[in-house]
Amino acid sequence: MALTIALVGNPNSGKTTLFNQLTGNHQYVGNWPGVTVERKTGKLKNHSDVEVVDLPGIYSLSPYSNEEIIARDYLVQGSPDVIVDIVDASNLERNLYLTTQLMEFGVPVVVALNQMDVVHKRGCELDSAALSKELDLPVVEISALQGDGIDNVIAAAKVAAEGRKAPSPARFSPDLEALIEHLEADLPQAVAPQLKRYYAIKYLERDEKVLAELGGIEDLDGHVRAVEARFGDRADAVISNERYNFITSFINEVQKKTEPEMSTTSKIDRILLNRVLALPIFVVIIAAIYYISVSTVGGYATDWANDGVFGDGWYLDPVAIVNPDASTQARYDADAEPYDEAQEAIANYLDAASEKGIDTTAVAANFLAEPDEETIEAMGEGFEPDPESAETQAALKAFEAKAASEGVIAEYTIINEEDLTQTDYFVYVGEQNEAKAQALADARNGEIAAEGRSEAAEAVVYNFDGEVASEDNEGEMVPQGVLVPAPQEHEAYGIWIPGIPVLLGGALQAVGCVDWLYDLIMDGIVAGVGAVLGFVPQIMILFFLLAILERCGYMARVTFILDRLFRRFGLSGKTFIPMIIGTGCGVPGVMASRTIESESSRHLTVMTTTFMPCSAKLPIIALIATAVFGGVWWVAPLAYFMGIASIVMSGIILKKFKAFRGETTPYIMELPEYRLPRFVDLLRSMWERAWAFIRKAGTIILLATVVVWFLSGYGVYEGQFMWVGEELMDYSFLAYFGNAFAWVFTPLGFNNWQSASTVITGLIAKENVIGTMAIVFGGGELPWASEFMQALAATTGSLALVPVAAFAFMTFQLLCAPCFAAMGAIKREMGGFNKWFWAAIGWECGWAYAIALIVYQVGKLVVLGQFGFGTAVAFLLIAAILFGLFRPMPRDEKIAANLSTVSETA
Amino acid sequence: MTLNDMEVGHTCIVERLNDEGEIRRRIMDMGITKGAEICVMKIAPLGDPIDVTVRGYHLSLRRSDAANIEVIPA
Repeated sequence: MALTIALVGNPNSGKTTLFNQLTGNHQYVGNWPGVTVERKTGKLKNHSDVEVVDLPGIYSLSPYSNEEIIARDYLVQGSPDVIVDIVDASNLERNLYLTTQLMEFGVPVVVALNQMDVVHKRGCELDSAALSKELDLPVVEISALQGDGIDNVIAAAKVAAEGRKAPSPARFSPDLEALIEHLEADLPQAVAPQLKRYYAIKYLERDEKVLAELGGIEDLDGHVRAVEARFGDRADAVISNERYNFITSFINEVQKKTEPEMSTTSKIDRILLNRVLALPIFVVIIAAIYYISVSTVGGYATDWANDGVFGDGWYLDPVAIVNPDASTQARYDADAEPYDEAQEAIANYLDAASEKGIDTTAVAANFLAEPDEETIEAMGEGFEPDPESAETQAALKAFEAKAASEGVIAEYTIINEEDLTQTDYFVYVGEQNEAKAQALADARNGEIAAEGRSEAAEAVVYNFDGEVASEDNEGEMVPQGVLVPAPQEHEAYGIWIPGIPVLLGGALQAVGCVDWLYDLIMDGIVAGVGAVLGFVPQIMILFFLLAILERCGYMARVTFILDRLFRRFGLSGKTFIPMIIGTGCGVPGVMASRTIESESSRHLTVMTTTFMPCSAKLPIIALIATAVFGGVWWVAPLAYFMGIASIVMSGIILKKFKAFRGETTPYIMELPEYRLPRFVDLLRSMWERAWAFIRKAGTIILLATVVVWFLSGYGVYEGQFMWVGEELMDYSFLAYFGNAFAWVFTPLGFNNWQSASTVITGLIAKENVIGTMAIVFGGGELPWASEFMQALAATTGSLALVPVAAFAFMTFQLLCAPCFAAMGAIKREMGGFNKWFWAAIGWECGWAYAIALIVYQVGKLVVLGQFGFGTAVAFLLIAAILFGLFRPMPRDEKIAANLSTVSETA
Repeated sequence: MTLNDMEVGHTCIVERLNDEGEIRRRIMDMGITKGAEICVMKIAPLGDPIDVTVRGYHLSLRRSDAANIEVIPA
């Protein structure tokens, strides 16, 4: 038979877990009140004719919160066949309060007694048969988590639904019963008989929604006054009292409580909620989570994914996890690094020599790993490099003799990507030039010392063809230049697994893929989507750790710790929940703000939640933290605290505007028992969110990277539409587009078209910021992250400003308007494209711009000591923010606010 | 005296609620009704809100709301 089961219960009673058990769905579960905000519907597993409706968790059926209104509207209008009331057995008294209200709808009720294991663990006893007798309702013991008793609930629900027996409502004291009976008799005829008691009680409670619904029944007021006169209290208080009296009348018969020694929860709270330790512990926990997921474990995972899986390849080598210095990769690097250094020196020296008119063809063709095509053509058909052959050696000697006699010294700079140190090389040939090169290097070292940059820069000499004494091992001679042997193939060192781009590129070439398609797939899709997917391991670690926090019960405590702080900014401790969910994704984060009762606080929360770095912004932080700041620990936590600070400061500033002034947000929150999360649940929660991220990478980001690749690959050069490729990318459509507004970012230190275009593609999805960077900065000689830094060095005109500009870039990307999906969520919560929506987007963009400008300009002042127009603007902005933070509440409005309270009380 | 005046570790019985409207209703829904036994367990690090046990569970509420709950020390 077709029937509808409504699941109702207190927040955090295990309702969603039961819903998942019943339907086989995997709804989001957390251990804090208010996880389910909307109602969800599913089909009962193996019973396609049974519909299960999961209503939001509620404590009562008052008309004050959205959840309560959703739940009771459904119960009155949706007329389910049976209500399954999930009761947390470990919190029986308060949970039954809702049960007494559910008994008044005339719909059969089945009580599902959950978390009996917690009751037993506490050494308590609960007699479910006695409870069933007292309530005159079927009571079924279940464990939603283990899936025990689920079949019994279904069976009991079916029997109850078929019986169609309305529960007998909770009995109040005889005096009140008599008064309710009179009121019922006077209700309008339109009220269905089974709902008469419900409406009568709601009327006594002066429930605004019910009063509006019934209308024109002022003559009932006498009944309310009669109740209030009889009980000497407001009628709604009388009703609440009577409900709890009904429960306490039998509760001690039903549950036997042994006098509790200190519960585990209290023991944990003694530490975690300790007055002195609570805040430091909170900061440490949050910092640790992001330290683990961004800087350390997550960082290694991302390196592996980015450089290995989506790079050249990686060694299957467990040692790398334990001791990276002894890993196969390290052994390969020990051979490859001197070779790379030598190649750089050879290439630069040959360039310098050919500028002096010396023929370098034969040397270049034989000693460069990747000589250019012209050189190979010049060597004639069928040329194979052979450095050992007599012919080559003769050509090398001839070249060296000429270069030595001309006194050619090649000079160039290498920047270490990881620690940003710079090395100036002076390459020479022949003993007679060594002293000359050394003198140049010494002079440069003198300059560096004079500038006080000895820590970050060094000048060295390098022999084009020879051996030098090793620095760390006296006596041992180390080859340099053309004498450095090439490393062996990867396979010779260990088990080598080629990266996806290598495998895919090989496969495409094997099937004879046309060039443009090859470029599209490799440089567009694989580079863009790969750059995004590379962060999946990191995001999974973050989600795993957040899932622990959510499920163990700490999240509700965080609101307790932070409420005082947030209230000062017109927010409530509950604001922290949207913020924390927002670190996963801004869309559910914005939606979670619905649990905040006060409208002004809700608006503020919606406006500011996306300041928290979401998982899609995480790659930006990771990139800046690792590539620019060499993996220092403080960048990632700082990014998150910057998000929190932005929310807090926005709250203080905006609260002083009339639009955000409102009633103070109530804060009455249950602190749930701590629970040990189950590992499978943590894994599932992690996977669900990571999968959403991956799916996005496969759809919208894939599409966006294709568009970006097209816009960056094609353009108009010398009046012709053409493929501009990497060499002429500055003429691409994307470059035109980016250049059109790159000037906007001049005061922020990143006014190049590449960076500007990432701001736009970031609006489609924030993952695109990294994906686009991989495309527009890719294809150069250096890894794209280094090309990005080079571009910043060019725009700021100083290497020292690269970290500052990169940080400003990150700041802007993190704080500015979120992606279109999150904007859609903001639109929904604000109620359309109204002034609230635009105020939110405008504030986010303006704030991001101001903070990034301050970061860059103040950073510039600190690093270079230059004070300019931009610095002045930065200080003006700081002053404006400080004014906004510390100005007193505007007076005229304060009076108005007081007047309104006075009139209300009057 | 009110709940706000209670010291940590002390128990009291609710006498009446002086709040208005929504907050008062919420407090009642959460089990703080006349005759309910409340024990003050903790104070948040910044001095507000407070953590109490009522009807066998932990509830946190602000001092300003606690000040509207009249109690008799038990």
